[in-house]
Amino acid sequence: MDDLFFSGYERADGQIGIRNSILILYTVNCSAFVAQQICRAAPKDIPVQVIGNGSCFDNQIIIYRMLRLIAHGNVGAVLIVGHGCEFIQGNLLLNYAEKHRKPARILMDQNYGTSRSIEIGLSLLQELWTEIKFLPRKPLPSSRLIIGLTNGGLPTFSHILSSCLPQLLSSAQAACCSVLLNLQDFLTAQSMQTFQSLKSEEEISHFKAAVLKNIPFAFQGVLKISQIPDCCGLWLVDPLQDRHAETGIAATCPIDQALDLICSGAHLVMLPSNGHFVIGTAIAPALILIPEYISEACMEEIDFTIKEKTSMETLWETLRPVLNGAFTASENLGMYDGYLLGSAQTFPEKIS
Amino acid sequence: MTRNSFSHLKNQAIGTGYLRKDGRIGIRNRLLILYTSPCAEFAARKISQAFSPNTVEVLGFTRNCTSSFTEMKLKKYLTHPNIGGALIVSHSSEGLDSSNLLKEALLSGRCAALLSLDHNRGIANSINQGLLLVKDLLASLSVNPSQPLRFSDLIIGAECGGSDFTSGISANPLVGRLFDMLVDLGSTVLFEEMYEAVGLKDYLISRCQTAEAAREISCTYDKFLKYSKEHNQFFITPGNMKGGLTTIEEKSMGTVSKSGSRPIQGVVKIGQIPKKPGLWLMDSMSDTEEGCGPYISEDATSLLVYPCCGTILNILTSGRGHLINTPVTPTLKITGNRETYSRLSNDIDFDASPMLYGEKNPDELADALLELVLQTINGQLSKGEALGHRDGFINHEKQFSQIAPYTGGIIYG
Repeated sequence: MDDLFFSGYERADGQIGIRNSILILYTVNCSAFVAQQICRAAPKDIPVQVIGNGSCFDNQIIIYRMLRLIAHGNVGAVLIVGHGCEFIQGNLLLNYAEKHRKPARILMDQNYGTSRSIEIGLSLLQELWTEIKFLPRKPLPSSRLIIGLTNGGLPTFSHILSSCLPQLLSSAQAACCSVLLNLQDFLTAQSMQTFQSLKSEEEISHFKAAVLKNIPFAFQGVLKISQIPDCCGLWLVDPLQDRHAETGIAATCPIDQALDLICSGAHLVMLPSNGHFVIGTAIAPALILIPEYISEACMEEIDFTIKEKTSMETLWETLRPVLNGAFTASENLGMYDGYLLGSAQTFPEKIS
Repeated sequence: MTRNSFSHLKNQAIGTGYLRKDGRIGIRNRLLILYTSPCAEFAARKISQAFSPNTVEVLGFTRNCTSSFTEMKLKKYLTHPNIGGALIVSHSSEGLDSSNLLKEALLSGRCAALLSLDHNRGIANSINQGLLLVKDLLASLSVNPSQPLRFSDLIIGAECGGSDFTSGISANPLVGRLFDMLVDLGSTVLFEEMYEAVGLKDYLISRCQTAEAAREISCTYDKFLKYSKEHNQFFITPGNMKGGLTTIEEKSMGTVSKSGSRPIQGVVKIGQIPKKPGLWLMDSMSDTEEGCGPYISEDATSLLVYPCCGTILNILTSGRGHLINTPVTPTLKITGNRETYSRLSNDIDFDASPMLYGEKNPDELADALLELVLQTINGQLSKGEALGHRDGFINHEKQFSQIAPYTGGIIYG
């Protein structure tokens, strides 16, 4: 099938996006408050989201995540908020943004204190918004789109996997886009426990191979944290540690799992849910789906009901307005959640 | 012996606080909104934003996995003497049984309620229900402090962050002097950051009150050093170096000076409250082979561990400057760097630089600092509190309750 088209943004570095937001990225948890206050005080007409490092340290995976989010197509400009003592060097992040020809500023709150930093931050947001607000949307082919799909709170994600997911996937694949799944969604509580008992890199490697073998879908490949797909099709994101499994960050929540997909380039994340609550993620809109068998849901906070016979056309009809800029339920609620976490992965290449 | 201008106040009332059912006395009477998973954070924060942070604080667990150790920590926050009531915001996607938290809060005499997000239809409805619950809970909290507070009721923790060349020769030794005064007056004081005590094992052991305390210090020191060596992660940051510190050993000497000179009574693990007054070390690092969280050390999160050990006030020294304040336990910030203080005087509570310039002697400054402590425990807001800062994560550590030579797994950072 030929490409479908939507109206999105094309960045100077060639990335595409469905939103034109300013990302406030804090490099250390000591700066989280100032970053969040800038975001809260921002004028309502400036689309701004905040996320950052919950630690002081410069774990390689956290840095990769940060770099990928800076370069993410949904991000039009970046305000880096640092403190001044931490390991992660904000200036290097700024250089990376500039390398991607993305408007960016840096603010070190240790230089100004809380109140003045918030004032300066708001002024920098205005500058950045002036630089990006007139970027026009343009028709873009679905083949450049990356859609994530992960567990959005269903107690039994396996039900979705067995019933609705094949339909969703075939629809998405028919639309010629890239679809990302999260390896963690294929782990049961028991297999997660097994994973966390593993000691050596070799054991972990065997474990992952066994899990992959049992996944009933054909993938183009497996992406490590912050790797992005290089062609259309179905991809699996592996956020699990390659070492130190017993002490790592395996047990995550749906927000973390969605962020794993966003760090691998997802422009939109579909989250099958039990309908009793919604979650939202920074950077990429969350689209909350419920299977049609769920009847007790707060429908105004649900984006889409998946039926067994949902066609590609129906799915695309739902996606297209969101891709074109219409807010999802979680965006309407102002939910842009998430923290960046470190991990212990062996990454085969540097992020460019 | 440190001169002590306050010795006449030993055993006297130095203020009033809030008496809790367990006999502990709080210096604040706040409502805590405690979320138990990241999926509940949005609703919890939205509810809290309708109120002043000096009335309603919000804090939560940012991981989805849980353990009895995490549950214990959450209970410590809920039943902290500075907390008078609580709204627990939970979601079923987590592994924690939030009803246990509610029971603990109610048993401790707090007014408390549980808001389960997935038992309500939709986030917006849940937030509205939460707002009503908070208003009800606040009505039960409107009491004035009336319990006489003595030095023996104080538990105070100290930490340094963003250290520079001034820290080890001004703010940190000043806190050490304050700690000596407080110990002499019958208070309990805690220090931590054993990862910044590199090279000082023998010194710390020589200060221990008992052989058991020496064993505990020895084991704890070895654990931290092992971590640092195996991860090549020594806790001297680029900011420390820009600020004129050269090595972890140099930084360590300044860090440890916060502990003053009184005997070390022993080590408390996370969640343990010191059994008797005096100087204690808090060990905040995971020591289990099966830990499932990273060892995150940043100042806000480290300070947030102190309330689990009962501190009702925290002190943070910083040469380069800090803006943070801890939820549950207010934080007083001190710098010995005059340029930093003049730049951040709206954020930093106390200027210790006159000690460095020879303008005031350390005794005068320690008296002034203790005066500030007394004002703060009597309700004066720290600058971070007044600005609304509530920083730090509840981390996911696991610890053994017994202190033993460290042979376990390494916590990934």
